[in-house]
This record gives sequence, C-alpha cells and structure tokens, in this order.
Amino acid sequence: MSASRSFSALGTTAIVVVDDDRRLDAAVDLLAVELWSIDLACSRFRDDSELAHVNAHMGETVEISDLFAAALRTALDAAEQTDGLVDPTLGAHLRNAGYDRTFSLVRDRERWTIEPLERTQGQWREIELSEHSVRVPRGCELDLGATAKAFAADQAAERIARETGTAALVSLGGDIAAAGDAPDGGWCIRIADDHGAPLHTVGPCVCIEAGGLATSSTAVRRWHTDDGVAHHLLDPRTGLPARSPWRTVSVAAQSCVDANVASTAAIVLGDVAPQWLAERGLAARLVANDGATIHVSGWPVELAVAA
Amino acid sequence: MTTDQNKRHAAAIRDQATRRVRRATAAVVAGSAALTGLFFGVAKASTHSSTSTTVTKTTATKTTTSSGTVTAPTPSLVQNGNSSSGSSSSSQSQQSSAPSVAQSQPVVVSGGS
Repeated sequence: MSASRSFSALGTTAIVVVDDDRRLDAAVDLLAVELWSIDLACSRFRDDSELAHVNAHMGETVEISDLFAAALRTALDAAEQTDGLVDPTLGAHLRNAGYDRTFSLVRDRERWTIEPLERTQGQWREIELSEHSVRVPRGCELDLGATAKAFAADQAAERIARETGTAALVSLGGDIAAAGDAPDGGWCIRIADDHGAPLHTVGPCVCIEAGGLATSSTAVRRWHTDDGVAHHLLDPRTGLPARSPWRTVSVAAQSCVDANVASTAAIVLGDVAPQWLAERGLAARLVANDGATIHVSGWPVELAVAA
Repeated sequence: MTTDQNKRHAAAIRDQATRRVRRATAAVVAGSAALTGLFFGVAKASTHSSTSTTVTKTTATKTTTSSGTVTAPTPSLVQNGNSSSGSSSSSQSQQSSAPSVAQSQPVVVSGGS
C-alpha cells in the first residue's frame, strides 16, 4: 500500500510518496537529509550557503563541495542545452525585480520599483567550473533556483528508491521525480496552475511511470511593483519577468531536471514554445493566459479525475 | 560540535551522497558501452551491405557534419526524449517517461510554485 507525507522545505512544499508504506519513515528521513544538504549548498537566502560564498567572491577561484559542483554543472548544462533560455546568472536581476528575500516576505511587501539594470547575456559561458572549485566572473551573480529544486527531486527520489527498495515519487513545489518500479498504472499526478491546489478536486490528471514531470507558471510566485505585477521567471535576454503568452507549462521528461528546464524555457520562448517542445519529442501541456490549452508530443487527453 | 565541525560534517554527508550517485552513473555508462559494443558486433555480422557513417559534432553555436554542412543551431535538450542531464537512472531509462491517461486517484499536484 502506498503512503505519503509532506513538509515544508526550500520555501515550498516537499512531498514523498512510496509504494510500500512500511518504508515511509525511512523515505522521509532520506528526503529531509537531501533537502537540508541542497539548501545549505544552493540557497540564495542563507548567508552560510555555498552559493552565498561564491557570490561574495566573484572573480576569485573558490573551493566548493561535490554537491554544489553537481548542482552548478546541472545549471550550466541547462543553459547550454537551451542556448541560454534557462540561465543561472540572473541573481542580480532577480533581486532587482524584487525577489530579494524569501517569497513570503516579497509577497507581503506593498511596493517595489524595478530599476534599469544592464544585462550581459551569455555570462554563464565564462564560469570556470572544475571538480572542486569554481570561478565566477565579476558582476555575474549566481541563482540556481531554476534547476536546484528539480535536481534535488531527482537525487532524492533515486536515493530513496535505491536505499529503501520501494518505488518513490518526490515532489518539490510541484517539480516531480519518480524512481524505482512504479505501481501498476504509474503515478497519477494532477495538473494545476498552483502546486498548492487541492489534490482531491476535479481537474486534469496524467500518469507517469518514471522520470520527471514539472510545471512552470507565471501565475503563482507573483508580487506587486510600480510597473505592475511581476513574477519570478525572468527572460535572460532582458533580465525582466518574461512576457509570455503562456501562464503555465507542464512537461514530462526522463528526469525532473529535463522536465523543469523545458517548462521554464517554454515560458521564456513564448509563441514558438510548442514547436520547440515538439522538436525535442517532449510531451507537454501549455495553458495560455486566456486559459486555452495546447497538448504537444502525445500529452494525453486528460480525464478530470474527481475524489 | 563547533560550527567548523558542523560544516565539515555537512560537507561529508553531501559528498558521500554524491559519490553514491557517481558510482551508479558509472555503472550505467559501463552497461551502455557494453551494449553498444554488442549491437555493433551484431550489426557488423549482419548480411546488410555496409553503409557510411556520418559523424555529427554539435556545439552551442553550430552543427557540423563530416560533409562540412553547417546548419542552424539545434539546442540538444532531451531531443526525442533522450535525457541529456545525466541525472536519469538505469531504471528510468528502461521505463517510459511519457505520460498516460490517468486511471487512478492522483497522489500529488504538479503546478507552479
């Protein structure tokens, strides 16, 4: 019998589901350790994180842990694979856009002014990453928010399945990774604009057996500025919140990282996103700002499963 | 424990986990190489006439083939469903990642965060 548990982590909700309920406690412990480690390595809001240390030493070669190196390598691979549509060097622009503290504090702030800020594209190519050290160019502030959660979900699901011997599903704020032999019919996942939407209501649902499923949305992490509502998905070409015809994009892929990178890139890409996803054979569901829905690469006709 | 000891302990835990992932990845790569060799041998021994092989080198800015053709940039993210992040496991690669019609109750919600 399957079982699940959720708790708060990384500024969002972490959920672990296991196919064998006797392994749930062990799975929760493993997930907690993974998340504690990734937070200490990659958090933008902790002074003692490795990310903060690297950002405080731009232009210098800094020793880093294996975990931080792997997370940064994942982010740089994402930039390479999307030709910079998903960019790990948007830290300064995120702060400038108003996302300069944990989101609960950003959301509660009454006003914010986005100042003009020069954007140098492609700086991620100048990052010198080796196995145990990194050198980030001056003026290049890292933010791994676009990939770190998905990276952690993949790592955690894989570790839980391996060490507990049961199939596991990990969701970090709606970025989902599956590992191990899935239950018959796969893992059923409800698709929504907001990962915090109720589970047991009528809505579109699909199943996956392995890999990852991620959803990026401009509808959730939003805040007020003097120029209107801003959101956290920046367009690396402008350094400003992406102006996208899509409010929500969900993608299934062979890992949560791949799914998340593709869904984020699709939001940034705009009108050509369906073609971009189809060319890569990625099953996806795109929701336009007016609510119209497009399915790509065999994303199934969803059944509105009710509780 | 002191703060330094705590940090060293934390780093040790992280590094241990990453080493485990690396070992699993190495096993997958070794298995893939063995299968590649096996299939190459099978293909070589087949009755089909030999065909030329085109080697394609892909960079972030251009794609060059052995015939010297230069084509438009082709970002390589999971082309045709092949993972390129290196984070997929052997079990993941053996199972389909394509979603299917839901036939049971959902266990989680995927949405923006």
